[in-house]
Amino acid sequence: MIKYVVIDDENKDLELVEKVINKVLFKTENEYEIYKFNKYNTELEKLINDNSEPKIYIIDIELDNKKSGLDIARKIRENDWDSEIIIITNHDRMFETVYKTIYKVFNFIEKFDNMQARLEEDLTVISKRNFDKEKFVYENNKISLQIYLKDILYIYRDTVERKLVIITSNNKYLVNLTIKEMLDKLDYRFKQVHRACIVNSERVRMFAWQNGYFELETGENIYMLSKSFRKGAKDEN
Amino acid sequence: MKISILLVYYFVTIFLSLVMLLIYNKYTSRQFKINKKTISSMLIVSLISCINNIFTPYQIRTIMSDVITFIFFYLLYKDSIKQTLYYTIIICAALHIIDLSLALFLPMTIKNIEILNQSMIFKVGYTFLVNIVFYLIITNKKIIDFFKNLKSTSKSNKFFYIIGVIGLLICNFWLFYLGLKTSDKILNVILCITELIIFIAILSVLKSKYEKNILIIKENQLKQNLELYTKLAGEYKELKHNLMNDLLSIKTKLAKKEQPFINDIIHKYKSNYEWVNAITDIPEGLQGLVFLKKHQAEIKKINFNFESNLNNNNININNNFKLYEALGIIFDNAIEGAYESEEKIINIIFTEEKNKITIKVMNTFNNSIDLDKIGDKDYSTKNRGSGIGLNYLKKQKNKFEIKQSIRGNIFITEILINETKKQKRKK
Repeated sequence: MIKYVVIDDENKDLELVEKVINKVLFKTENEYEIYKFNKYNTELEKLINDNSEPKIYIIDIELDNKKSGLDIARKIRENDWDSEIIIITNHDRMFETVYKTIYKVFNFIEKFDNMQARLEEDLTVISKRNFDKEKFVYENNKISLQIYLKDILYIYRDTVERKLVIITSNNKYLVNLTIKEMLDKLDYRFKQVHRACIVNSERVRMFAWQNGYFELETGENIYMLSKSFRKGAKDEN
Repeated sequence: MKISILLVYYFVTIFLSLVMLLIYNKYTSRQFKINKKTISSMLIVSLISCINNIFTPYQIRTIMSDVITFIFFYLLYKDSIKQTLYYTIIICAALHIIDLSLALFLPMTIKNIEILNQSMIFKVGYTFLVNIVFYLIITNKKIIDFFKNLKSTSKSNKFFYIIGVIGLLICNFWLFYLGLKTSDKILNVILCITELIIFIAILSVLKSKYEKNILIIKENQLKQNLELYTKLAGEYKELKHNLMNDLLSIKTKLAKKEQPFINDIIHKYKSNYEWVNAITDIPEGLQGLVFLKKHQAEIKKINFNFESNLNNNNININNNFKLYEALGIIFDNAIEGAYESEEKIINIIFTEEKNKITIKVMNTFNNSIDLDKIGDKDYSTKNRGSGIGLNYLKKQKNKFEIKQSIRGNIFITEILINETKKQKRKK
């Protein structure tokens, strides 16, 4: 069940968005529910704080209330980084780049610029998406780290630092865990392919068992493939 | 005294006047022009200098020479007394320092200095050489820039002139004293060291004063820029808002075939549009810091964005210098982090809820981070960093709560401050 949360101070716009959602979802077999709000209230707060199911928020930026659409988006992101957010704007593309990158806002749609068609397009993309929000979480007394499993490329043991190094598309994180402890924190897509390496099989283009390397979807070859782990790695190519 | 010697002496003095004039021209950014006025002034001044050197009592000879130089510059160029005095002090002081140094060092290094001193050719050659070296040193671009900057910071400050005149008098006194006791080597060494100490002391006093003045000027410029930015931001915001409203009104009245045209115009004004930040919502002390960091970030082409829902009158974080220090470090770290990332974005939010102020700094980054070492001394997430920043923040944790977290490619640092004015009044 996916919850669609629509927030707009004008009832006619609420109805319009509801119509678009129904139109898009009618074509799919997804189960969904629509919640409509004119402003930020305790009921909406409850819904935001309930992280049991993923939600899709469609929020008007200018609300006739203390809290604006952006305030609500920020509130959502305090605890929930999994739900999708679409912001409906009047005419100002407020903080668009910042909000898309920092707060992972899916899109900004202008009210007076083909709003219906663009919303339909975005909702179709979102509805076809697999809500893969599984995360790797690591916390110590200094910092907390949360990264989506889908973003991890591979993990290897650094023999100098004697730590595990998590490699994502942009960053590297060194953590004090063993390979076994790490495997317990990951899901089905992660395979141990070497005594010191775990790989996200969904981000691998090819396993070259004979040559001892695997090729990532980024085109990079990693020479940490051991035949003795071939049996365990089911998704080999 | 023979006439031929007097003529040579006069010729040397003309050369010295020419050197002084060239230096003064360099310092006042003038082109040196040879005309009747310049030549006649030089000839007259050189004659007066010669008379001064021959007939004035030794005790006041150097001071008189400085006064003649000042009058020479003033009458020739008619600059303000302040400016003429300033550059006369610099030129004369530099000449005296070189004179003093040579007077002290030469007798120690050259054995037959007294015999050489009787040779007219040696004296003339020595004077020419010293003046050429003096010209080359004093007209070095860095030295000129230093004294020009010093002057621009001392417009309303008599301090520099007083120090300069005192320095000049000390040099004169020493020259006079040396004339009396040139043969005492131990005294020469003591005088040499004392001269050096006085020179360094005057320079360091000038430098510290100069730096302080520079800081005051920078602070004033920053304040002015901030005021200007706030004003312009407000106007820009209003203009943009009105422009969009006008364009949308026009759009609704245009025929269907005209719509693409108006859409293009609307998109043109929307492209790269970012919300204008309301800097006035945050406390004054922080405004300067945020403005400065925003400026530094923008130089590095970083999208620096901040939002605030603070009520400026309701908070008590002004004069909390530890907080400013910590924020400075956090902003710098965010700039460094964002600069190395692909997206280059920093987002800062000031929020206030239930007497608690939260300052959240979020930035994109592209780094290798050891999660167990972060905040340790000597560990830095930046390649060239020393690790002092994050370690310092760690030490401040008892002063205000600092939380750090990473979500995907976003590094988040939060500072939580408990006390606001409202709360304080209740106590």
